[in-house]
Amino acid sequence: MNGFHKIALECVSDEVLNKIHEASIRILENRGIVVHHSELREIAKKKGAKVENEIVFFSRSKIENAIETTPTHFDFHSRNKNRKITIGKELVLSPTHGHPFIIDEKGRRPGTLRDYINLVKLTHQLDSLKLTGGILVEPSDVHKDIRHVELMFNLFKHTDKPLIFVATGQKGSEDIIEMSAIALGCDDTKLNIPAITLTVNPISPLRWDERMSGTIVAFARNRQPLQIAPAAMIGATGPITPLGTCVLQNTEILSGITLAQMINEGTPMVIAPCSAACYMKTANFVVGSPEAILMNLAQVQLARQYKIPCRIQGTITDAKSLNYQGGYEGSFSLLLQVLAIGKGAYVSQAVGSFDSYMTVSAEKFVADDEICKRLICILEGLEVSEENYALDTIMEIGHDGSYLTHQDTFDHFRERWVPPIADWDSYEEWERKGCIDYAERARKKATELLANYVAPELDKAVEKNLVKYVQDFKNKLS
Amino acid sequence: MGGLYDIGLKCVSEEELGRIHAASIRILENKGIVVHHDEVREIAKKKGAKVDDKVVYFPKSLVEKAVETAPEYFEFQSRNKEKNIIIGKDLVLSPVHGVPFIIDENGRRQGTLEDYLMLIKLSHQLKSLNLTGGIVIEPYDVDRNIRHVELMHHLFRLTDKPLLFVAVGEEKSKDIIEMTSIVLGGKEDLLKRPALILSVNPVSPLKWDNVCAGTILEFSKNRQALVLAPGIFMGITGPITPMGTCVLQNAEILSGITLAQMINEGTPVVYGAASGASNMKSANIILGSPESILMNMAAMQMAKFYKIPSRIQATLTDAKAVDWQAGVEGSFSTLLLVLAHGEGAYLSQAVGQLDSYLASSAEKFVVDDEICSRLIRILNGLDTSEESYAMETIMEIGHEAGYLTDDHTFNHFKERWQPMVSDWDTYEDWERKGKVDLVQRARKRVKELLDSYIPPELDQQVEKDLSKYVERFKKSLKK
Repeated sequence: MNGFHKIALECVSDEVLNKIHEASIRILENRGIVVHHSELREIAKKKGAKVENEIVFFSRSKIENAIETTPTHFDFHSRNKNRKITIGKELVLSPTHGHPFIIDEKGRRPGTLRDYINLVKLTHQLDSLKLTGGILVEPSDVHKDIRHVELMFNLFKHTDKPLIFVATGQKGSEDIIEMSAIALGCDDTKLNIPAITLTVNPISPLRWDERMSGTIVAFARNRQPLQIAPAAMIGATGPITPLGTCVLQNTEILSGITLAQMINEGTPMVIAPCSAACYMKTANFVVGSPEAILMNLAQVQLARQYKIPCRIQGTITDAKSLNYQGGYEGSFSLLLQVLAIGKGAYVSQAVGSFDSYMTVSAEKFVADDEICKRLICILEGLEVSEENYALDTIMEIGHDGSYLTHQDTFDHFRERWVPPIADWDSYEEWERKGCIDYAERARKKATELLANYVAPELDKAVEKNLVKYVQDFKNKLS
Repeated sequence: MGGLYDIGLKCVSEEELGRIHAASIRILENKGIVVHHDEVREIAKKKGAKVDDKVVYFPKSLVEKAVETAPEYFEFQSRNKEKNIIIGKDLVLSPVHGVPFIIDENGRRQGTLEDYLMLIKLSHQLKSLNLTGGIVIEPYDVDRNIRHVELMHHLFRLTDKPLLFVAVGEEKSKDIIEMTSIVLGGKEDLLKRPALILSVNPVSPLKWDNVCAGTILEFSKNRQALVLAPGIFMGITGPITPMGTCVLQNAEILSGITLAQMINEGTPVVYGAASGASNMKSANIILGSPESILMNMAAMQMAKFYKIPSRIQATLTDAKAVDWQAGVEGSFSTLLLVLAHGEGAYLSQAVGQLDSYLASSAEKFVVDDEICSRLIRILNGLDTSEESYAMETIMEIGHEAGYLTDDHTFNHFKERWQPMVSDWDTYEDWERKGKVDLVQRARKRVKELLDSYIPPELDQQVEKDLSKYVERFKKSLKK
């Protein structure tokens, strides 16, 4: 395929980008950011940051140096060598993350470990997803102290795709890095290549709590990729103007990058704008506003200027079911932001998210997978070979012949895109088949995918080591 | 608002555009296009086209001259001068057009005049639409012979937005142009600035029937605006490859532009990419394929290359209900085609369309209106004034909570975009309010909009003259 000739969706001018950058520097130099982690503050101080109580102030040179030392792209590995991806260079899609509830035919309820495992299997099956893991749904029935170990074990067991996880603080991070080293069969259980990544979220405005700070320390020390993802709310935890919240978000991102680079220069990073709007009537967090998209388009441009990989939030919506609103909010968010990044877009929440990051459903995983397939088809662009121009056929058929029965049509019709779920029947056929709605078709597809799931092979010795790790961990706790 | 800074989304390279053009010329020079209209063929011959029986062959020079003489943009007027638009410069949004059925809470049925009037009122009320008319639903209960006159009469009474209509052939085109000149106070002004626009669709491959050829003739003579809009279906009435169908579509559009310019140089024409995909299993037409979007993105680039205004088909879907699929398909076609087009996009079918051009839905009018509002908000871009950087506020608030109650928030919160039908409640609020789904919310909004509809003023003398015209027309038919 030809690919797009030019993808340049630019929301603001270079001049505005520069002003946002300068504003962020001014904030970090003069107002600083709170860091609730003494060791991290110590490191920052040693590397030349000014520290006053819990506030860390970064000078321009430190920030700009950190941007310089952050890699422009990086290889990211999994326990299956064939699934290596390059973040910052190729389209990477990963599923929903961090939602407490799940909706199924019985209604909405808190997630369980069983749901979690099912969703891991589903993401393993969806070929649009190159990355999985994280909190596909919060398993409310797993004890908090062992949750990270239990989930990592299940991830390694049920998929061989590269993995994302969730920030678990310094000690928890060390645990999951060690487990990753075991799963990848690294020597001395030292993870020497990037093979586990996660998101750290500052508490807006301008604060890193202990858990996030500790995660940054552990991940940067082990050179595992960190995704800096502020989720400021326009008008609630950030300024009421989208541009103002973009300034705040960018400032928080730069602080995270600078901290990580101070700990370990060259640590792979991802700029991951997650800020969103606020429904001013009720002060709740809403993800479907076009203004939040505009704000994050500007952030995407900043990431390009900084030459650091960028991740966007994909098919997010405030809708509570698989309805029209969910379709257009998700499409707007995904399309506009991917087009702004162009090649090398990394999409989080590409499938499965509903209800302003609160709820997931298996149907939405497969429905969004179809959106991803549309996106991939669009990004592949038009085939422009001589044969695709079909000029000979056009001349031969002229004004009267039939394209439908022409050899050329027969030769190429299998190349045409067809949807996995969407309805392409005529109204009459659709009616005859029982007016099956989209959600039902999606449910059927999800069931099929789960029924066909085959666990990827896991080396016996590795599995044994992982089981032992989990057992030892549980013993230590009790 | 600054507007988006750069929306140059290019599907193919300049070199490909040159190849598409060259291929189209080769088709028009060597294979020609069938024109089922003697007078149009006569004019073409006089102007230098080769005519062989019913086939008209256009040499390269004539095609390229026609592309030159077609205006890059044009002012389009309505009976209310404040609602005039510039096609090729303004973002223009118009509703669903040319559909036989309506889908409502009772399912699908054929359209009636009552439905037609209801949807026109709705389109008058929806702020995002700055052009309306056409066949928002086919009113099967109106006699075919008087339908064009009857509908135009209703359009002038129910709305003062600029109007599009439907191709009705040579004779009936005279009628609607006559009615328009009555409303605008004479033909002189009408000749200077068009006040009627409609699509002419070749019968693919490469054929103009008598209705469309006659419409081209009459509209060009009177310098009213024409949208050349082939509706080719990949693998059925055009090649199976998107690129091949793009070439055929371009050749057909160029033939229409050339005919119109031969009849009357400077006639405003619009490049209308309306081709789609097909379901190869059942050979029915498909609008929601990403491949037809790609093909029409290349078509948008062609229109730019020719410096001719273009029109896209927006919020298209094959879904049978206002559902998830419709939301996804509609957003993809709207966003991608508008972004490929850049400023001054003209969107047909921007609201109301379902079931592959076969059905209208009042609920979909209002949910699509919200999509349009989202689109407009995106195209307006970020406010980049000094104040919107909020630097003083950020420095003052620092690390603590307090944005919600800050003066800066109070001063600007009303500027924030809000949805008209989408649900922004929390799950708990939504549940407490009875889990009202989007279609129900949309139905409520339709009712509100219709209840608050007030017909725009129409000059009494004009109304009298129009009624007299319609009366006379009906009498003349009975003879």
